[in-house]
Amino acid sequence: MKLQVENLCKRFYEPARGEFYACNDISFEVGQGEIFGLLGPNGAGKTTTLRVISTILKATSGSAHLGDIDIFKDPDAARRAMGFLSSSTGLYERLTPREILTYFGRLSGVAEPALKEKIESLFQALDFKQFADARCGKLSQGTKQKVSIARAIIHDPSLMIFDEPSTGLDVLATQSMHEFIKQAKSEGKCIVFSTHIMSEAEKLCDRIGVINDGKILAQGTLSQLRELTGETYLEEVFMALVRKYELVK
Amino acid sequence: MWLVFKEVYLKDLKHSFRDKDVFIYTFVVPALLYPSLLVGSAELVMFKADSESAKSITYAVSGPTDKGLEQIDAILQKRKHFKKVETKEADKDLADGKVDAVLVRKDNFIELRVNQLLKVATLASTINDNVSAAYLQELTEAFASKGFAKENSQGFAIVSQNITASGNTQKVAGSLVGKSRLNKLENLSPTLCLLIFSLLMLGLGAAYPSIAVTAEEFERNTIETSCLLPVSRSMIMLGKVIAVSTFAAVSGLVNFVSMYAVAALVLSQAKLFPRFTGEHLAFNLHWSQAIGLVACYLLLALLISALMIFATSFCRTVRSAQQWTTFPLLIILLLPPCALFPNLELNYRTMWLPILNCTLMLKAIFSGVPFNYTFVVVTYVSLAVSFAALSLARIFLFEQVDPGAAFGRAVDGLAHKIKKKETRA
Amino acid sequence: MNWLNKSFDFAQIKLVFVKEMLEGIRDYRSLLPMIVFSIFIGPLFTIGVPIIAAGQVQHELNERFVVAFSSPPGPVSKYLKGHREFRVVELGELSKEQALAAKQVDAVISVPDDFASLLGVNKGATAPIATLTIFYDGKFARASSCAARLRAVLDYYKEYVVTERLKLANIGLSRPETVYPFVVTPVNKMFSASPFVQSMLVLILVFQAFMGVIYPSLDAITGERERGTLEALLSTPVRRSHLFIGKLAAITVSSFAVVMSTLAGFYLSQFFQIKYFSFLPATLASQLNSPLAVGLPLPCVLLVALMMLPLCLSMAASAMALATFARTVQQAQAYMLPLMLITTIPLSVMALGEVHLDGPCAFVPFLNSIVAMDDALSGRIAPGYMFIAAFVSVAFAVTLCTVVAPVVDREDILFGIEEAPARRFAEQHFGRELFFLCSTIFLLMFYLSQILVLKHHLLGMALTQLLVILLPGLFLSLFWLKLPPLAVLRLAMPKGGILTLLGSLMLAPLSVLLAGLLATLFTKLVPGSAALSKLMEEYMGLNSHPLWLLLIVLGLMPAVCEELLFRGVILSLMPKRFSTWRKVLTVGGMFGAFHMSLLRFLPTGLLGCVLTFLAIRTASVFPCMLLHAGHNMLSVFIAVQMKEKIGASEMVVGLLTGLVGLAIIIFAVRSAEAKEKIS
Repeated sequence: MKLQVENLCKRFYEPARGEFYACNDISFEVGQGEIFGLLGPNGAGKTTTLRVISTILKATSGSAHLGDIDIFKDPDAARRAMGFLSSSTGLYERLTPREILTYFGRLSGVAEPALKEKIESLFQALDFKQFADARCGKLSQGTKQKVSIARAIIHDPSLMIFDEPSTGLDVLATQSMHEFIKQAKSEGKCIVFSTHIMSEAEKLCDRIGVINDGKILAQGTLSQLRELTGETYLEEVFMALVRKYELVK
Repeated sequence: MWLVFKEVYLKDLKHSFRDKDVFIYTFVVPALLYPSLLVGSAELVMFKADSESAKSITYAVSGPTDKGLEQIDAILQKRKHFKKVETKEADKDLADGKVDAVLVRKDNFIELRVNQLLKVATLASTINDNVSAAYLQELTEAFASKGFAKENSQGFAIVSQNITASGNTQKVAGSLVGKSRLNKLENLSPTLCLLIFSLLMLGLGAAYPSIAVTAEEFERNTIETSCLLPVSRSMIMLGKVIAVSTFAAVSGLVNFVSMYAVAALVLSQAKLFPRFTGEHLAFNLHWSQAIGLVACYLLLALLISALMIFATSFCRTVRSAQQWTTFPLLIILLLPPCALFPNLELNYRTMWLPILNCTLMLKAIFSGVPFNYTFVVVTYVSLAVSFAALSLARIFLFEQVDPGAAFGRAVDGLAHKIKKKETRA
Repeated sequence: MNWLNKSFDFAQIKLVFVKEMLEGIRDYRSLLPMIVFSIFIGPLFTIGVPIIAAGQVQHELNERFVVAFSSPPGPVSKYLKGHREFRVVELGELSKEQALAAKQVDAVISVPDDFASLLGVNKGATAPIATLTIFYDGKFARASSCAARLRAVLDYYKEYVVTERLKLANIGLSRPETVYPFVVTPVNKMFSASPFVQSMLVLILVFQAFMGVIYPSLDAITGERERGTLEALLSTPVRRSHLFIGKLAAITVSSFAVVMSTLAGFYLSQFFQIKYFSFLPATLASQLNSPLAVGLPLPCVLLVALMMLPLCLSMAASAMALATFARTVQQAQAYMLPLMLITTIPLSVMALGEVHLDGPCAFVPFLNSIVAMDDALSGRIAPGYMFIAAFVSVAFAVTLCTVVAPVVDREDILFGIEEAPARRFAEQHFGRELFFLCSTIFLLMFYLSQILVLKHHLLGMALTQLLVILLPGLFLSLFWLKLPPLAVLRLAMPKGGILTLLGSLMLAPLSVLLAGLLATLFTKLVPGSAALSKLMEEYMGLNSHPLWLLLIVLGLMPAVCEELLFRGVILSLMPKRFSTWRKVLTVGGMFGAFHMSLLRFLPTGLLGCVLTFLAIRTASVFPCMLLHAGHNMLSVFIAVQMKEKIGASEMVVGLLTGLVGLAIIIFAVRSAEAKEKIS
């Protein structure tokens, strides 16, 4: 399935700041078996964009399609086909990872024998089997993040949306998370994730969208971006784009 | 030193008041709640009073009778509010509501059998009053017919005069025959009741801020930053408790003012409640009394906040803290109203019991008892208890002592053992 | 059952339920106080109350009051000496005020000099009555209880004096005996509780159910929102209503557990009763013991438990509904305050007395279960109505859940996202401003206008109309929101022009007729309503003012002011998405509630609906003003001038005029609309 986002806008209001657009006319496409990275600084509108796509927020205007599903018109069908992990998602502190995965798996409509297998395979893939029956409140930050990732994809969605998935993970865990995402890509999933870490985007993404101040400044493969700006390293590419945007503004 | 205290105090106060929503539910909700409660209930009271006065009381006479019982029966039959009913199984008819009361001859008195606790006092006194009034009438006529002055039937008159300092002299005329109706609850001022009831609201107001400065700090992990601060922890605790008590005192007072205004309005419509008038709510306080009341109220706010902080300090999650606030809340629900018992006064014994002594002091100041040594002792006791509670809370908060966790571990261990046994089997 | 399975996915509900229960049970720290604590409430009351009562009695028995006389006591002193509880002392140097203030004496009795001489039989037509005065200092509890005891004792002395006089005058009358109350323990011991338990069990159980509901519901809705787990849940395809019902079941169970442990405490405490009044003579002791006896048979417990379940359910549903609208736990906690009012229902049921589960009572959620329990405790069992009560509670809870469930998706509550005020106003979202307006008017009505009316009667009413009703609405719409005055207040020629206006005025007799019919119906149904309307007439001062003034203040002014507020400002601030019917019902309901009277809610609410409909259909406020003014003035006129019952002929005239008016309006509006279409 293919994710198509067109002219997505989300307007916020704060008494102190007045009205502003957290995402402003955002369009992108993610094909099957493709990893799309939203790269931007904190407060650029990454989380809002992803939340709108995952139906938790309502778009002010614009449209989003996942295959044949109109995400905004048929949110239930869209939810069944996507997994979402936001940066602020919490876990039930008094339940164990196994219980949480079972709970969310069943809520998402995964049937019993398949669910057990799926949970076991996720334990293996994300490497936290030894904590499977400990209470979440007692887990380390990294393990919690792994549980959250597992929670988001327990129903084997065709679109995976991760909001800064590597927060709180150490080098080894990040590595295994990357492996996992690549594995998912090879299975033909569509993957959208946001990050503010350049190296992660560089290593993982097929295409990158650079986002700042609610707008996508540029998008394309790494080489396309390099061509556009004439810089080599992604960090410099990013800086060049932001500088150009500031100048225009 | 002072600056640290001020900073902590302002931070905790701001943290609790950060939203404008907080203002809405600390001020607007109580202000709207009590009046809306009253809309309609005044009407219900009227309906009730009206239907009560229209309804007659049914009574029955059971078992053997004699002259005394017949005399009462005869008097009641003449009164239009009473209706006699014949009954065979008196207690069964009582239970079924066919008859309100049953008169039975006992060895040395007449028993009035009733099955509802709430009706007991009123029914007996209604009957006794009716009988007395009829007897008085009979007496007056008898004296008059024999050529004596009819005032002979009244014996003499008794007047009670309350010479209390605040100047509201009360004159209560006695009843003419039979028991007098003056109750000893006369120093139970409705205003004082409202003031004491508002203590519960004060406790409720203290509950959430105290969770915010204890358990929530653990949940949000801000306690670590507090631990790292290079300032005295006592100062932090002091800042916390003063912030909580400010919040508590404000919410208690807001509720009191709202309730008082509502009550004053209702009572001023004297026609709805003929037995009360607006005068029952009059303050008539000397300025020194007013200052004393405010000081006492603030002292209570401090004490209750300290207890609240203590109760929530050994919780590590907001959820469990909420449950533990039930303990201090229950104490506040039960203890202060005890001060309304007429025979309970502030003396050398009661002054040692925390919270109750403070409430008794509130009552004493309110009724105009002059300043004496008990007030000093009460203040010291309250401060000492607050200090003790806060010191313990400080240990639980900052010294990594966690009694709750130990309990949790024990239960977890037990559950684990049981599970192991199960898997073995 | 098929439709039930189709509309509810029970597997999903069960899943949510099991998860919530698991999470709840694992929270030992909260579980402990919740359950253990509740068990002790029963013993606390059933043992504590008698102990306090016994202590009070004993205290009174042992207390000795110090009494002094401010004048020669005469025979009174001799009489008092026979009563052990009084110790008579001399005042000495002190004045009576000083002695009382220094607590040297509890009370001072002043006896008139000629007291003794007045005690004999007095001949003649009239005779002076001797007066004893008791002085005491009311701020000391001891002093006032001393005064009360003195009165009681002196009352007996008075009786003795009268008896002596009867002897002297040779009258053969004797004082009737006094009756002493005795609380009967119920006949049907298997199915009814003792009066003591009856009087407080329901109150405590309802309070406990409330306590058991608050924290789980805060945790299950607002807590999840605060901790970020709700976001994860919302990204799954689970149906919102199922999520709610699952959580509802878990919260109900938690509340029920608290209730059951409280009930268990009460049940157990009946086996540990002590004879508290053993220091008193046997008859007196039994008389005092019988009202405090604890009796709670098992069938009674089971029945109460059965009725508590629906109550817990409706309580849980309401708590959840309230919690859904809160962003933080603190906020949610404050929203629970109104729910606390439900815990006062048992008190009012008790105060009203003789309320039983029958007829309409069984269909009111909360009230039905509470009354059912009250009945069950006194051995009155109506299985049919109990079933209805349970069914109504379940339906209430499920409906509430389904209605409130979509709110969890609201982003303003979930993330605190709002729209800019200007944009909100452009889209006709005035919810917040309406709430503000209504609460301001309510508070002003309650405090300001009651005082005004009490103090200044008719002038107060006029001021109320201007200050409380007209001013806030105009201020909000014209000065704060800066809306166009003509459009907001609907100051336009109505559709159908003069004809519509005429028709509206002619409708007034019909509406008065209907209101009168409703009022008569109410007087028949609700006892006491006649007294209330009489009271209102007195307040309005119908009889003490000239008719023209009454017509203006009670007829014209409300019509103008209230119409501008309700059919002008409030109707214009209604959300755009509301259908006409919803607007009519909402504004009408608000109009009814605004009159702040249970009795008048239905007639005024109906009138409000009619007026709102008229305003919407004719697109003008003037027809409403005319109808309203006609209605009020006619009512005032009838109340003042036609005290006697209105005859059938007047009724027929009114009916016909009204029907003609209705026809005129329909014709005028229709033809105007037809013209519009053509053009």
